[in-house]
Amino acid sequence: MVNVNINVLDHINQCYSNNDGQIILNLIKKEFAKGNVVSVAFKDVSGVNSSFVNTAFIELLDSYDFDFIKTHLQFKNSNRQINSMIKSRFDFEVKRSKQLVTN
Amino acid sequence: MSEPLVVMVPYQFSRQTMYPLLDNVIDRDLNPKASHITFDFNQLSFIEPTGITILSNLFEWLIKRQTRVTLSYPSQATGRNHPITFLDDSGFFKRYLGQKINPLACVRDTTMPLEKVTYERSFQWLNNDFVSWLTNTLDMTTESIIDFKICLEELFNNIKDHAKEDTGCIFSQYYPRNNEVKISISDFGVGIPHNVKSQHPTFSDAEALLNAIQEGFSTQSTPRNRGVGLHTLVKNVVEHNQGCVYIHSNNGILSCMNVNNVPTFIDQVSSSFYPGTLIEIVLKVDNIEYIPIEEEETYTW
Repeated sequence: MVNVNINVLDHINQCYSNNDGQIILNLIKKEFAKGNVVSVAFKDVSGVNSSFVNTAFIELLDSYDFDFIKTHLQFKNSNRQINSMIKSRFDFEVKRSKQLVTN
Repeated sequence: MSEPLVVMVPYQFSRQTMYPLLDNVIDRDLNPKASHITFDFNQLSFIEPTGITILSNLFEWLIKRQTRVTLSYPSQATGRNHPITFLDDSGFFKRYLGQKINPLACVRDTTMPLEKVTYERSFQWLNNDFVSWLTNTLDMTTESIIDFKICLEELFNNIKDHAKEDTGCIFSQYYPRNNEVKISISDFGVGIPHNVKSQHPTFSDAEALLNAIQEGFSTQSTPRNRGVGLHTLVKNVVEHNQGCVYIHSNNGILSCMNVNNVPTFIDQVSSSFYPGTLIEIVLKVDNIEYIPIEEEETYTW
């Protein structure tokens, strides 16, 4: 298992749309398939919106459970806004999927 | 050629007073009432920044439907406080007459020029024009206002995903006396209730708006939509900044404000129709925390 660094702006021009998120999602999935740990770096990114986060990271929940994601996905060079958006999106979606299971 | 339909722009023009004008222009089948409409500005004595966005949106909606739009305005509009001067300074006449009324008209320090921003251009516009204007006007860092920039990113993504249009009309003004910023953005797409009611046909347009701001409420206009954009807007502006958000879309009106630290929502059904979605954001500058050039923050699960 290796720790692979993905600096988002090396792969996309901006963290803005679902399409931008899709490129990052594909890179993460490729490394997860090899069992690698991924560090996503937000160097020079001032903020992220929900469209980007939903596609880049939340869609991982369709293929991996949350415990796996927490142990295999890390974030670097982030700030308060980026952290808050990622955390609140995961919190909501994990809670919602648990409710769906219990109902 | 037939005579144009002449409609008066009301004495005071804002989101609250726009509906009679909309009724004079849009028929019951939601089509323009005439193929040529003249907007008469001679009675106008005051216009809110949102009024400029509304007029721009309405003109774009009409033009898209092959309606010819002409303008009638007082020939002698003098003084900085005259609404025609304000409209001229905003860039409104340059956009819709092809030229300024007064060649000396120029964008004021407290406003951003009226812009029609396509989705394709929106990221650069927000990153450069909007952030520069807001940080310079408020003497703040980008880090201090990042939440509001993200709110506008959410709205542009919503326009692209839901409106079946890719363009937003946007105008912003800073009020030094109240220490507030008003940002008005509108698209001339199908409207939020149109999308919500395709899945929840029993909802009124007002109920559609009230539901649309709940986190996770999605119309699935695109498969990737998770219903977060409007929730993020209301959370950042109303909960965190104690500002206000007003949404007018189709026959729905939703007012979101903070009353005694409690986010409060008032939904109303209007008998008149707004073509697309209009959002007015009021930011309380006193409540914006000054954040110095940002240091990194470690992410923890």
